[in-house]
Amino acid sequence: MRHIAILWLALFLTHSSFAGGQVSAAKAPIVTAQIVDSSNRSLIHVLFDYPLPHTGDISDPASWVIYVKTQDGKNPAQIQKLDVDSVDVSTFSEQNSITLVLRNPVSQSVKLLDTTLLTSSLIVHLPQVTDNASLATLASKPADGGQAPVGPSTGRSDSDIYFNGSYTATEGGSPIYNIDAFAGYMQALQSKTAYYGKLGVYGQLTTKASATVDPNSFLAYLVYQRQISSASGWHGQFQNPYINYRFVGWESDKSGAQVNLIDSPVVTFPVRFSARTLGRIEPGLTVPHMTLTMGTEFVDVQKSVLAPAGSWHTRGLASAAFTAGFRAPKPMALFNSIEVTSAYQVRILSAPEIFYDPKFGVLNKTTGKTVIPPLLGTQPRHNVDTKVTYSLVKWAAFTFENTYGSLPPVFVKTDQTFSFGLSFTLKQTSYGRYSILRP
Amino acid sequence: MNHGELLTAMTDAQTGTAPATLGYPKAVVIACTCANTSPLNLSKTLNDLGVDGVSFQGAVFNSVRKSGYSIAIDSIPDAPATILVAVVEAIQNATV
Repeated sequence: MRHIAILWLALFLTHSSFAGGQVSAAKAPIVTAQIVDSSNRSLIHVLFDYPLPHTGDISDPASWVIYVKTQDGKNPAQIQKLDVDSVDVSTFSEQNSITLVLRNPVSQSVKLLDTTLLTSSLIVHLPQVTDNASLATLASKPADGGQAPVGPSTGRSDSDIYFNGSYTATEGGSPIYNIDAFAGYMQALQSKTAYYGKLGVYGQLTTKASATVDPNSFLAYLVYQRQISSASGWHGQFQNPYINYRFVGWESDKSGAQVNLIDSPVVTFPVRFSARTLGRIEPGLTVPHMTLTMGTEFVDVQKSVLAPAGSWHTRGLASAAFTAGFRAPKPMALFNSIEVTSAYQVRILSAPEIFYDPKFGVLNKTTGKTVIPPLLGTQPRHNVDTKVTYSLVKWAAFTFENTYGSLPPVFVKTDQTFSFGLSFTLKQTSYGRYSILRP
Repeated sequence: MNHGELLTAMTDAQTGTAPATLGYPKAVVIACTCANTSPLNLSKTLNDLGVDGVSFQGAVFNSVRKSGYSIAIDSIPDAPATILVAVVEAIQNATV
């Protein structure tokens, strides 16, 4: 027991010393962006993040050492030093940004901007800038879109194209597949003078291992999207609403036994829980916000094991998705961050639809497995998914998740399910496991 | 002064100049107004600011056009992880 206590103490002290190092390192100014002004190329705007530097450390033109690499056509690249004539810090208190006024403008053929800040106690090499938008070498035209159609994303919630799959072979049993994949792409319908909205496609494939009813589903839609209002402002806590019209779509289970044709206009109302213009928000805070959706789904059941096929009926659809979070700006005991996400949706049916409810399961004495029979009903179909992630420290977190309800096309009901998880993510600073195990 | 009046005062007809591109100052005003936030939050993500990307993108697009410039709406980033200054970078290059 005594050895364990000593081990924990050692770990605590080690972690504390790392935390102290972060605070010390964080004293270096953090630069979020360096932007060449497209309307006056003699100006470079530098945006800082917290903790902010002292004005005296950044206001001296001699503190800034700037080099650019230019390349024009097939000529060899050239390195050129740019002199800073003055530093405009008048916007520092209101925008956290300053403007470097150069003696000569940045060339249109610039490919790279390299900046070093020399203060009385620090040498800070800023991240090199190579992108066209920051260097103001890209004129956005309606014809070219201005950027690559796809790029990397940070996670599932931030993705437009996502795939996560696994295959598990089991001896003497069926293999288990888990696939969570979706892909969506929207293309603007736009000319030089007119904008007509966006047209897109969306597909989703979900396969989860299940011993009872197969909940697998496949969704595919063609979508039209457009803001309802052309106003630029907010309306209290509401942003401009927009319409998503899935003018044709299909939803199906994996076996194809249940196939629905869908036509669905929905209106989305984004809401932020603050009606005023935001002042400086605390580092790590996610301002609570919600997305309300209202609309209908016109459903043509084309194939079903039980529901009547060949006629249209309507589902009224309402949903809300809520997000909030907070991350400690400084190291705190037993608290790093907390994030809450919750999504609720309800469908109100005008005609009976199929559903599976585990409470009506029947034991098959031959196989020893419970079989859930398909049923028909018009009861509202709710679905709730709430997740709370509480991080004690950066590398350890608890997750609580509550799920309930059912989703189309086959509405397999999940009773109130609470799951609790614990995750550790630690990394050895040297070779770690790779020196012992094959990666 | 509302957003429309602010943009009208910033149009080239009012200022008597006609830069070929929107430029940084106007881009900051548009991005911050459409996110309903102070420029102190330029380094925050749209998710941090509680801003819906689709609606925000449309608002920025309309504001750029009302300022007398044109831009491809798809070139305005609107992902939850987009930091606000990335929007400024993108729209400051909008052309007349």
